[in-house]
Amino acid sequence: MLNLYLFQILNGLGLGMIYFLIAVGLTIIFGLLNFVNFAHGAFFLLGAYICYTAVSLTGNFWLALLIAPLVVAALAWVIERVLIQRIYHLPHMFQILVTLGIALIIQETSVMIWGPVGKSVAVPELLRGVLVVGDFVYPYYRLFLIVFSGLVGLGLWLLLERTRFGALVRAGSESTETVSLLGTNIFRLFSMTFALGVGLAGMAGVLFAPLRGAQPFVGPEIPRPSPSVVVVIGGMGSFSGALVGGLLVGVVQSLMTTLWPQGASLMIYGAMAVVILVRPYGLFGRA
Amino acid sequence: MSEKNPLPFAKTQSRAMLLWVVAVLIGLPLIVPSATLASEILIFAMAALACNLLLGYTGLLSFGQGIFFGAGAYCAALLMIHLQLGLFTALLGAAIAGGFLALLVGALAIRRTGIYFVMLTLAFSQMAYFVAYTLSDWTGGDNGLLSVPRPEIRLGDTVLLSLADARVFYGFVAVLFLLIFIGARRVIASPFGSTLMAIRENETRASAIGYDTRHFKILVFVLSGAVTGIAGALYAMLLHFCAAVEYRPGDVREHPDHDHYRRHRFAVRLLAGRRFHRTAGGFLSPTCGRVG
Repeated sequence: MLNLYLFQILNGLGLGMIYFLIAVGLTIIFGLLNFVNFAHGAFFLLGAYICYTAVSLTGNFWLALLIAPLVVAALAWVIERVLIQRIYHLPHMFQILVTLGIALIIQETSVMIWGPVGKSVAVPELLRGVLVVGDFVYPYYRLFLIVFSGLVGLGLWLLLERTRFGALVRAGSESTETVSLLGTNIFRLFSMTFALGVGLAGMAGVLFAPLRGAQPFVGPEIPRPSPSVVVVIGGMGSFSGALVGGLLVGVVQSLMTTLWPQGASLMIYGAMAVVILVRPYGLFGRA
Repeated sequence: MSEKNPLPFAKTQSRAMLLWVVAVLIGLPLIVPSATLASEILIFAMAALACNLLLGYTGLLSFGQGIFFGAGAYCAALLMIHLQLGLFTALLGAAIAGGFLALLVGALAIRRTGIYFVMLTLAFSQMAYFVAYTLSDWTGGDNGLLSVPRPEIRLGDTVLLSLADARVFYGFVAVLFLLIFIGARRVIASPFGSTLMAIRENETRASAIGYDTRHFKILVFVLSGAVTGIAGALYAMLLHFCAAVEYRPGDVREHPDHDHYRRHRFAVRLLAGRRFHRTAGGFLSPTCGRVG
């Protein structure tokens, strides 16, 4: 029995790392652009669907892992140029409404293209099978998820902390005006950051596809918390908050699958409500 | 925002607006293919109108409207099924249920502002969905409540009007819509309404003048919840059916999805046009949005 819980916790870590990838993109966008992107989950969905198409066309998951995030990021870049850039100055409420509209368009278009029934994606050949340690088994794919997402997270951290681009992003989240006055094309920086954040959601979608497939709808059977929930729990704009929030949500969700399946989303949304009421800026956020 | 003063409505303008609404209410069943669809449009317009009180006039983006809609639907359905209560008692019950839940949600959610407020209402909406889904003894869970009656209008023991016919039911919904429309406009034209708009424009300033803005926000929440509850009850009566998963018109049967419904109704609200909250037409535009 204890083994089962341990297994679920480890499973949750794999899932949590995917949530981390989604949340970290959202949190970077919020941190620099002060923009609330409710379409983030839709881009995640799109990533999963493009993965499905790429895998069924080429049979190569790795190619999908390379292409899908790029396609999603490119789409995000276009949307940012055409639409999002015009609404940065509006209050958050309007940003939520506009991005909700984008989310609906993406979701409904996906249903039109790929149909309302979920599509499943096979786990890549290389990662099939399980790791056996004593009497404990763990799927290779989940292990890969943890390692790969961890590496992406590390790379992202290095990008933000050690490169010129990262320095600009961090400076921009402190004061957009100053960065702009110092001669940086802030709008290009915004577009790139938005595309980067959304591309991460697309990547998360690809990684998610072999686990649960690409599902157009969220339902009680397919728990998929809105990315904003993870970010709000962790703290908006906080990198470590995204990590902790993602892992927390993933583990809770995984454990609840064993304990009380229908209760999973109740726990997560309940936790979010408590966090907002008790610690308004999230576990790791700053005022 | 200040270049257009939304108040006070000129009398003639107000009367013209009312005529327009009556014209739309009469014309709607002639244009759309069925009276049932026309009723559905009006019911959603009513819910959008309630949403407009919060979003358009007070500047509160609430994802909790689905809770009040569902509460109204369930409450009316349960009252009619188990207690055999009449039409108006059931509608009153729905309004009270919607208003009461709005009081709870509102009182908690308005402790935060901006995105945190929005996320709180989202959290409550998800939790309410869970409750409706889990209390299957009462709500029928996934299957929903079947055979919700559509009681006739009666006075004592005499039946005045049976609503079984779709066109008669449309007439009933239209009258109710008109009453709520007029009522809502009265509220907006009142000092209470002006205070709401003051909160929307600048909450700090409104409270500096001396208004207890939390008090006002909770009140408008209750008002919005009650109207949404009535809309929910009417919807349950229209479909003879009520479930947490079946509020999206059309194709949802294969894909039970609460989120979808919530977003869908938001889309309704969005279609209402950009300047909705500045003009008296704000109450009418939800109707137009739904049609268009």
